[in-house]
Amino acid sequence: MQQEYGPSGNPINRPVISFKGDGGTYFGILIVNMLLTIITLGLYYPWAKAKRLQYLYSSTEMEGSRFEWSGTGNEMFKGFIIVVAAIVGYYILAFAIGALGLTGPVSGTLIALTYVFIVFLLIPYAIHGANRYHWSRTSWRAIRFGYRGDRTEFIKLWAKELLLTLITAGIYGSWMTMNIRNYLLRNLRFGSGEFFYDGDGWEYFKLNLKGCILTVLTLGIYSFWWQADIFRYYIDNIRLTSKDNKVLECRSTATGGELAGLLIVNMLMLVFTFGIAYAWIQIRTIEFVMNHVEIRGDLELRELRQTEEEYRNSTGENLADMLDLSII
Amino acid sequence: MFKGVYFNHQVANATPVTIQLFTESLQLDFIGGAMPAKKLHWLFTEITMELVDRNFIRITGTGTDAGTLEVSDPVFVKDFLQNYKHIRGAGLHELALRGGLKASLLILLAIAGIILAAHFWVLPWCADRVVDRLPLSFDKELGDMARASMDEPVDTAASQLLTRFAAQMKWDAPDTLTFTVAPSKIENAYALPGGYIVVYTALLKRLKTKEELAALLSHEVAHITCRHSVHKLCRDMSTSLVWTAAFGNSGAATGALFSNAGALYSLTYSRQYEEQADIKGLATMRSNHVNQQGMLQLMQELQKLDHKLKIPEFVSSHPLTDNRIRYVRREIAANPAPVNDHAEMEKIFRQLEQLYHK
Repeated sequence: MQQEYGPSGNPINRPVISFKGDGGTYFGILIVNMLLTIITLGLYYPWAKAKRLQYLYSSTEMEGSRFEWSGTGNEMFKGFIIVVAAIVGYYILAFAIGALGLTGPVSGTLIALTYVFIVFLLIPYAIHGANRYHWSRTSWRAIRFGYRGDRTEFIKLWAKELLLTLITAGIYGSWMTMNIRNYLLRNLRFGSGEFFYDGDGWEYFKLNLKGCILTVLTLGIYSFWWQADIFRYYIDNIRLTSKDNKVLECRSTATGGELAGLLIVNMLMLVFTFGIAYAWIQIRTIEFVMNHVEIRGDLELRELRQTEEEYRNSTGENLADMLDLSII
Repeated sequence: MFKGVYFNHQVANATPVTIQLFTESLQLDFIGGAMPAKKLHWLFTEITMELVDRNFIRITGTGTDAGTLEVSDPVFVKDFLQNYKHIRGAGLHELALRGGLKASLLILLAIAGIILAAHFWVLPWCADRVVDRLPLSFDKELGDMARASMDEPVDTAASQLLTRFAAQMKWDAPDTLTFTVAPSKIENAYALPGGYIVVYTALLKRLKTKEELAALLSHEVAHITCRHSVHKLCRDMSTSLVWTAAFGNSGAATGALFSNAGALYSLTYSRQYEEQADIKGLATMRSNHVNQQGMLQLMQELQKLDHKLKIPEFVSSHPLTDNRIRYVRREIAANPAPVNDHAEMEKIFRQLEQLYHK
């Protein structure tokens, strides 16, 4: 194969990410997880999650080397217990308020305050914590990823963006999504490599507006193409840069038609196997994503150095799970 | 000698190594490159390993020479695990990773076994113990709620007669019993927890003798004294609770499948309850010196309804009447009892009958 050269004269690399796992093995992991979770009445959850992520990460290969998830069940159990304790505490509090017989405006205010607390503080707290933990536990060739965002800064940003979205009745949502994504990805590190995301609220808004209108006009059929557009916008603006200004860029090659094929077959599989095909569906989806992202640039992955510290507090990660935020 | 790739935790450079496997350690030999010939020796006590699948394993040295070794070689994975196993036992997960789909399916079967055992024996048992501890006032509240939500019209004159009829019998029930007649074209009667018994006019019209009516009431009261509704409620609730705990939100499809299976199974609960109510009802008739043949006549009357419907026993909640007649006959033969005249009951029954044959 002929070596390509970029404008700066550096050789161009095309690292390929591929998935080496298979549905049968993944199914086995999920099944064992389920068995142990049932037997332990749910307490096994953190270990189950560790096993699942270990398999998925270790089955993902880039440049001939597998990714690694080094988070452990024990680590995540601590965060899990804290979050469960918090939830139990919340219920006790709610029960106490009920028992005190507070009604009408008082309980209404309390409910509203709780809601504000969850939406404005707890969710960004969970997102921040989850990113910190999750990326610190992700590595490739033993080089850790890392998230360097500042918690206070992120919560302020979240609160501001959310407020604007609420005031504009959701129209600002596109800008919010992009600003949050910009913040998160610009603070993401891959060893000495720095991620950069350049999402523009206006561009994203136009894309969604078009998607929304065409989906309605085509009675939903266009939604796959809309999804493909969103996917492309999410992927195409990601860059990984090094200190010496070398860069790798991502590009999506997924089309609406391909996405429709994937999602429709997934749905049929799920329905006709009563959910048993779940493992295969997830693997198919992961493979689809990997096969439809192209990476290209002059950055040499093998030159990445270890820079990120380890972070073992999994409270945010667990909180994000409980709030059902799928972040990463 | 096996081939692997080594990472030094400093930089993302892949260094090829050859590996020698000993009974309690590994040796890594660095091959070629600018690096001077170097060896690393890892004791099994100084490593952690992650078995990814039967072809790929990752071993991390935790000693002074911290580093990671990755090997994609099924023979190495097998040989290494054989030596390493003595240090650490194999878990269920390892079984799934190495055994692939076959092992997974076996584990799936085991899970199915556990769930079925829990569903058919453990949970119903627990639920029944819970019911034993629930106060009777709970039944009453439940019954009140059910009645309020159904809000059926009441045939006042018939209800008064039915109440007077029931007052002629001694009931072995802790609740106050309320007997009501509701106008309806459906040939049915039911009992709500807390002592509410409702008989539809269509069924009442079919009864020929006071003994049949006494049998019907005895059967319904038995449902109440055995607290069948509360038992069923607790059993159903405990099952769905455990199901949610186990599967969380994974797949509404599974949930739907289960609720259908659950509905079928609760029919068998019901049949068990119906039989219990029949037997207990017979005992009530005996203690009141009412002719037990009334129960048989009632069954025969119900049988005529059955023939109109033709439902297989597996999906019907009342044990099909042929089957019921069989065990009711057996029960009567085994427990003969003296019979009284019950002139007052006869009188009230005829009055009831007249209400509908004007």
